[in-house]
Amino acid sequence: MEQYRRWYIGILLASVLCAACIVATNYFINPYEIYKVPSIVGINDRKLYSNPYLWKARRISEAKEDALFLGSSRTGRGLDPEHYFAISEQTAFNAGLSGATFKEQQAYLEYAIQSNPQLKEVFLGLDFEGFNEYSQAIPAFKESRLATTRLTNSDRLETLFTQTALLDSLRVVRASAVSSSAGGDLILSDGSNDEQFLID
Amino acid sequence: MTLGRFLYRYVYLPTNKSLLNRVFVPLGLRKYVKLRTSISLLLLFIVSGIWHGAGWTFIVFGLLNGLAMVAHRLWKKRGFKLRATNFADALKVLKGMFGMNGIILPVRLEDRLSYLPAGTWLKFSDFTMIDVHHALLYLLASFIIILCFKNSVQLLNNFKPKFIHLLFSFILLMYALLNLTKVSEFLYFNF
Repeated sequence: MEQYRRWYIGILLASVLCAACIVATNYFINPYEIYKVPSIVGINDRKLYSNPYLWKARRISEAKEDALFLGSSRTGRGLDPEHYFAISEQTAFNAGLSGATFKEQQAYLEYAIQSNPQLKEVFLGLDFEGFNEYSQAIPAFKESRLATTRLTNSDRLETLFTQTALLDSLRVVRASAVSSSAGGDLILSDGSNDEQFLID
Repeated sequence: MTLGRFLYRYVYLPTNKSLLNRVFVPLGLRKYVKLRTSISLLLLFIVSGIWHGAGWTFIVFGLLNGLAMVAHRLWKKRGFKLRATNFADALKVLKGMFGMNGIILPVRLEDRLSYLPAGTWLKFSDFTMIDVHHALLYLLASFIIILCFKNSVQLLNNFKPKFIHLLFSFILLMYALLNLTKVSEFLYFNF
């Protein structure tokens, strides 16, 4: 019986420790930049912007900018918050989401109004495909995420304790170590695409 | 031997004995019979929850059912009695099990079997399984494993908890947990 007791304690301890390590790794490496953890150059400074529907929602509710750019990826590539600040002295965030139709944009607009009382202006990027009512549902778009200004439990689980998150953390560490892009389009922290990256 | 006796002898007794010797005695629960029964019930329902589909919702579903069963047992032990359960629901499940909700045949056969009266009892529709080729391969592999190797009850007779088993179980457990949120859930569409 002693053998079995040791076996149980062994597997319980190993699982709990391993799970804690995975959660801690994903939290501190913070591959999608949604937790308030410092970015250290060479370790976790190259983030992965593979899920803009998640991290842009988090940024909208936390950064509380004066202006918001909504639209599809055309908005993401075309409008520059830095330039907007230079001409208007108002801070802005580019919330362009690839593949978003007006249905998704409306949800993000309502979310921004609800979570950011300082919001003064919203720019809507008109887009022919935005009117396509037959476009397929986007799996990354979740209405439950926009129902609250806090991080939802399912997002917390998805970003801390899944195989995808763990592999993405490793990818971020590897990209940071050699100062390369972690993957996908290189997106700036203001939500717009990096022009230099587009030219390269 | 009837099916009931077969199940009792080859499934219930070994499981019960191994659960006692391998789980409850090492955990020091030998004397706590009521607690043991409750834990067994809970485990049973969690396992059947996972059997329904790989997803957190199914685990919670199993857990809730198990908790309800435990509560029901404790309630009954105290001398309270509950009204008989709903018959309509039981009938619905039984109908589903025996295919009384109708039969669905592949669309390919519609031309050849057009003389059959299609209606509520018989439908022609697309096959719900998408990857038939791989499914057949998995079936073949499963048959080989089932027919050519020892089953879990036979393995249990000579089982000794070794480090290699611990490592194997640990890797499987972590892999399964890390993939729980990603795996798509399935539901019975006929129930």
